[in-house]
Amino acid sequence: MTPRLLPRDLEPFVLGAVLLGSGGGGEASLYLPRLRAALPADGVELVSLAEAATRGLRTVVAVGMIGATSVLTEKLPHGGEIGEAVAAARRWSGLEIDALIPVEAAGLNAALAVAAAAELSLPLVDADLMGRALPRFDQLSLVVEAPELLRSAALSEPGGQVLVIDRSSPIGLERTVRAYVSHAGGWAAAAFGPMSTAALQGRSCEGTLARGLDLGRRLRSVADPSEAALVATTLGGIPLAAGRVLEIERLPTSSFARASVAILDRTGPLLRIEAENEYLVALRDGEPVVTCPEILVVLDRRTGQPISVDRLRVGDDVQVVALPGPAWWRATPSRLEAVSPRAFGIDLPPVLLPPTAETTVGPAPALDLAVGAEQ
Amino acid sequence: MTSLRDALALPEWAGVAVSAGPDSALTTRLLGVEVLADLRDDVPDRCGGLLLAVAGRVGAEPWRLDVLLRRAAAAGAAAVLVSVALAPGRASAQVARRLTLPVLVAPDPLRCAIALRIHLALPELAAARWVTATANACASAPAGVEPLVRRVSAALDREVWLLDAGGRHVTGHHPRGSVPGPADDLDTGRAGGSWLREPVPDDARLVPVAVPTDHPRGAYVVLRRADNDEVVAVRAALTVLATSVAGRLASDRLTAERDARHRMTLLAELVQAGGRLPPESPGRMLAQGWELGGHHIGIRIDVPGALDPVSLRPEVLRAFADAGVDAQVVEQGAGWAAWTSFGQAPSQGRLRAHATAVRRVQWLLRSQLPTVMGVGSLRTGPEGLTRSLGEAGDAARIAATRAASGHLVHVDRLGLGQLLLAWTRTDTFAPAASSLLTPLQGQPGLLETVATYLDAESSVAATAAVLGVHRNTVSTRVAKAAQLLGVDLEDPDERLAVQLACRSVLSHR
Repeated sequence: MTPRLLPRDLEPFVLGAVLLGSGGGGEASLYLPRLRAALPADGVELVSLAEAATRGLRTVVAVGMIGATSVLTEKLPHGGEIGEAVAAARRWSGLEIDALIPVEAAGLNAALAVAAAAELSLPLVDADLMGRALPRFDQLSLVVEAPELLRSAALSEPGGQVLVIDRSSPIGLERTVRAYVSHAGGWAAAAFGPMSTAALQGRSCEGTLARGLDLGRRLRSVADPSEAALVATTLGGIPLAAGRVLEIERLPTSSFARASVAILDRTGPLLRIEAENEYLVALRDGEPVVTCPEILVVLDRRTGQPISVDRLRVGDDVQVVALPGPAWWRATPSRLEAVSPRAFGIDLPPVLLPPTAETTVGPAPALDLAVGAEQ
Repeated sequence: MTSLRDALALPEWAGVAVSAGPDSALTTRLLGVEVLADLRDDVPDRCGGLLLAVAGRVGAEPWRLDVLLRRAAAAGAAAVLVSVALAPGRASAQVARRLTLPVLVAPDPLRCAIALRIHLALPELAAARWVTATANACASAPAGVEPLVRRVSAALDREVWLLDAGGRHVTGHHPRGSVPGPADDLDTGRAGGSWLREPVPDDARLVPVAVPTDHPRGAYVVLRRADNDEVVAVRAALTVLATSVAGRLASDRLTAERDARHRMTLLAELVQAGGRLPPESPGRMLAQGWELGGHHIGIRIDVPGALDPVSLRPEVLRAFADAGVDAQVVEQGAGWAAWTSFGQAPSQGRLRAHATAVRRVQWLLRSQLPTVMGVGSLRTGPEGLTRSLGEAGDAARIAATRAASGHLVHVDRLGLGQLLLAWTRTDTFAPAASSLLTPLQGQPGLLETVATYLDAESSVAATAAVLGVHRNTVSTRVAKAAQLLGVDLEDPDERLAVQLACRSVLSHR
């Protein structure tokens, strides 16, 4: 029996996707009503890469929105953009698309991928190319590990234009995509590929969707969200601080806006979080304690809801939790380098959480049995 | 020791403010300065007590300041100084407080760092200047210890004295004023706690430095009116001077010993020949200033064997000069042979004056050294000189037991003295003498005063010189003793009886 993502899973799924956003990834919750409307009663089928191979789901495209997430929030997609991009990829390549895989199964892109799979009635592969929210094209697992596989993309912008790029390279793709996106008004739906599911084995972060759902369920299960230690343990992470935001300094840099958030812990220490689109590095009294690719989550202490980098304000009463990042990124030094603080212009070596079952590299975690049991 | 408070008082630090850190920030001690290019620079592993100054403004991200503060605190830095552009916000200030690390902000941290570095190096610079000035002064000073001390004193514009091991002034500007209590940095142990007997002005700060000699008398260089900040520099400079003094003392002593050996050889030749001069001798004697043709009175001075006649000869010469006795002094055995020469036969009055003056010489010497003195009779020519010196030697041996006469015996009176002494020691005389002088028992000083007074031919002045008291004291005591004894010391018979009794009682003590 194949696990499916059902309508009643949507809220925890989106909540978990936001957690994997590490403070970025766009306002996924705004898209929740649209997603709820798109999802049929029997939900969307989730297949692992291994299962896709055995079932003959050989060709996939990676889907997601490209562009400024803030613009996405202001100019919501109507939901058909990804479908148009996938259709363009199918027409151009002449290949039947068997399944979809999210580019980034965190934040808004996780929700959009589910909506697209529902709309196109395609299974969704439980893997993605980032494992969490990451800001840049060169931080796709495929670009780091097998750039030669990423040669073509189909783009669709809200005005209806469609662009197909082929026989390109990751660098060429990124240049064309960025130029197109700025021309198209801030964002565009993208379908990368088509590519074979076999080629994605070991070159993608498997189980990200299931992890998001799991995290969302766990967070919702917490009885008292003001208990930092409880929240952290429940999520499988460690508490970093609990207290008020003392200071936020937003500095312009060459790439993205940099924010420096200082949280005064009730017990005295000062936790500083350096952030771009996502929370990246946590320092306690000047000592780096956790950095990317681990996930930093800032939660409203009253409601237990995650607060994004953009929405955090001085005086907010928050707690900070560090979660293990995607295991895929820490598996080799070259992968780690692509997502370490230095990749974001912060001159610090990566500081990772101690390895746990969740962070060790291995086969993709089995999907929560409860999902399948619903069938 | 420079504290943060001191540093803030530097003129270059006028614009510096303590931006964050513990309440006790101002008392933080600063041992040195380490300059970092900017916030991205590596903090050295060990910077204990250092001020870390961040010169540049690049990398002005709050997290970098946090990390720098953390590393600085871990490396033991005393404080961190950054540009005003990098001033810590509330959050970084909290980190600084947590790390108890003062953070200072300045318009120009590099300028402040340079100023502090110079300030911290000032004591060394001062020491270097003092040492150089002292070395130059030592090199250019004329021969001898005194010119050396004077030259260095002038070069340093401070007062420098050379003292002997007993704390007595040897050379340098003579101090006036009251005696201070021992200052905390004085090396009191070296001179047995009474390191300085010289009076010193109240406002003087003394820096004693031992002169490194194997000379038994040692010496100290003392500098007056030094500010506390100067002490280190002064000590370094005085060490140079002390070494130079030691060198000159050694060289002076070499000269003195060579001269002494020459004199001793010459005298030994003269004595051995019984006054018959070898043909080449007169010229050499004349070169020493010895006029052997006239009349001579020989004087023998003995000191205990531990004392060094060569090095003490200046003291003896000074005593003769102070007493107005013109004498040749030659080291001989455990003491000195000396003599006064007269071109023509001296009158009785002149001889008496000479005897009194010699007594004063002995009194002056006894105040510093346990000297014993014998005086020979007036003799003529080289042979006479050797005879008179021989008599003086005999007299000195007897004087060793004569405390009452101030350990001085004149050979002219030796025959009578010996005779009487022998007689007064008989068993029949001693009890009678004792009972005669019973009234003086329990009266401190009276017996000694009377004995000395009678030995000194009833001269109050001579008695005062021997005892080292005022003449009026002598007169009072003599009068009181005469009253207690019920005798008239003007009467020759009674005077003789009392004198004999004194000899007997004192010799039995």
